[in-house]
Amino acid sequence: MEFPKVLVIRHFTEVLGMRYTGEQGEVLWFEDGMNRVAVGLYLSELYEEGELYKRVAALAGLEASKIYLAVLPEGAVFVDPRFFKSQGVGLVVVDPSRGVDGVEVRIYAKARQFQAAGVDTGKLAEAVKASVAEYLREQLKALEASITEKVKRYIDQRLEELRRAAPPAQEPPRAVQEAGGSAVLDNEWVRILRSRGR
Amino acid sequence: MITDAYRLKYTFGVDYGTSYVKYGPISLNEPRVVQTRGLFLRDLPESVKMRIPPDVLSRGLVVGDEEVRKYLSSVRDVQRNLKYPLRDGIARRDDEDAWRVLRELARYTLAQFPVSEPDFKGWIVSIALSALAPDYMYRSIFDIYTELSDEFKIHAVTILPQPLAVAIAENAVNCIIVEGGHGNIQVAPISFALIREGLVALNRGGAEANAITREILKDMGYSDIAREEYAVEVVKRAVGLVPRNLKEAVRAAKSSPDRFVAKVRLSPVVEVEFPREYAWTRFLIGEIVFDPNHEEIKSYIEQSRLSIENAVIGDVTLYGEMDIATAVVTSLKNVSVEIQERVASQIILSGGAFSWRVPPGLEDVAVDSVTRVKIALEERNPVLASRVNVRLVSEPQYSVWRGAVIYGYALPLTLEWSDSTREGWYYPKKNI
Repeated sequence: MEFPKVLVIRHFTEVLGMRYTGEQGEVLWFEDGMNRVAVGLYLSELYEEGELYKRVAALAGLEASKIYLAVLPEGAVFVDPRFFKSQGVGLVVVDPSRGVDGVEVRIYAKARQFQAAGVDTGKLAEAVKASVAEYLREQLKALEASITEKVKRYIDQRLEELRRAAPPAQEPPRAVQEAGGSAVLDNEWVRILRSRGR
Repeated sequence: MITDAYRLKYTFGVDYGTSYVKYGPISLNEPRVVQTRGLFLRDLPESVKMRIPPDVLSRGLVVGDEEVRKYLSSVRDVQRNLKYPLRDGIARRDDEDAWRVLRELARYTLAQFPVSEPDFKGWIVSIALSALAPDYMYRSIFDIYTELSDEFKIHAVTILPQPLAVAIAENAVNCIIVEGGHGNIQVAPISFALIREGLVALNRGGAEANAITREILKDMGYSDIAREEYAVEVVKRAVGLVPRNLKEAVRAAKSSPDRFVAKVRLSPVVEVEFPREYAWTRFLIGEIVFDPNHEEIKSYIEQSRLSIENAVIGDVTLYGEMDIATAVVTSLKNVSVEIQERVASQIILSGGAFSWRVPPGLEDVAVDSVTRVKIALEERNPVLASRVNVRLVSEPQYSVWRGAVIYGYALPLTLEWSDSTREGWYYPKKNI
């Protein structure tokens, strides 16, 4: 019964694009993105309806987002499609005689809620509190920085306006500072002109 | 009491150039610039009149680049109503329109800098005029600022000649300023003041370079382009060359013309090409500014396609054909022998007529203005040439304004205006 199993693994990985993560007894495990998918194998020469539904019940107890049951064509006749569909269980029929084309997903499984492991609510509350506090701290810091920046820019602007409006007397403007490239005091003409009329 | 600190804040310089007025308080790094022109709002259709603000309409005249452009399309006869008041830096005494434009420009320049500070007692206005400006121009400018003194609070006004302003901006106490404008070239000796006796003016400048460019364009078959002054100016700037020696340059250009062919793109659809047979004429464009006494240039004059003649403004004769070196030597001869050597120690070139470049690869035949003047002096007077330092002003466009504000800052306010020395302060309030 190894060959049909290989066919199932190949179909789920290569055709459906899931990642094979291993097997437990007669259950193959895959990962479809964040979802865990369980495929129960019931590959027998002789099928029993009771056994088939037992296996479905066992699969339903697993922590999987989607569950499939894989059977040989002979087993498919025992499947009640309405039950499978209503329960969201997928059905895979494997026909080893057809080789790689022999795997057919007759019914696609629906995503299901499985009972997650018990969570420590106290711990969870702590974690949420911590992350909210961290987020608030970051936001406050950003707000503070942006206000400081705005105030700084406003003050700089006003100062610049003031400076432009009234150039300080101690600092002669460039027109005078750089007459021919030298400061006003170095410009000989200032001394010469000052002495006129005396 | 007006302090130095006050003068560093409220000295206002105005340079009345033929094409542009440069103006602004001493606190600016660079002056503002406005075209020296005004648009008379005459012959307006009634529908246009309704859209013009009443105060503008009542003055009947607008100045300022934006303002003139705004109304240009509304005025029917632009040729008659767009007035350029200064020719060679001079406004004619009887040209009423010119004086109205100058008055409006004076108002416009001051209005750009409203002052509301409590310590403001009035502007100290320092005005730079052409060295050729006759007495009546001084009078009329003082009258204009007296008229404006209430509207804009003017404390005192003075006028100085533009070459003196250049010398001040360049911090040169003894020098010869050669100011090359569009219409004329002024050679002004300076020793602690402008030496008026030594002032020599040439009736030549950028305009003559434009005129010969225009004639060359016509010869090459570009008559339509030659009609547009703007296009001629662009071609002149792009292809004009100053020769180290005209004869040798022409010979070089004729023997290997491929080096000198040039193309100028004037617009996406218009391109001017100087072909091989006209490549040598590029040297005439630059040379005419420095020395028009060459056969190649004379032939244009003989055919009446160019006019280079003497002119008289006030009591100054502007020589048409005098070359630059002779002008410098003539100017120097009119300076007292005792200070001649000091004055001749440096020659400072300023103005647009001296901004020529040397394209890479043509350094063997083309030169810049400084080198051309040095070469001319060497030919004319080697002794003088060996002692002189020729240089170009550091800021050709703004040096007059910068000199004017420094003059306004430094000249003592106790010195009252004297018509004989043309120096001192004129107080509008006293003269109302």
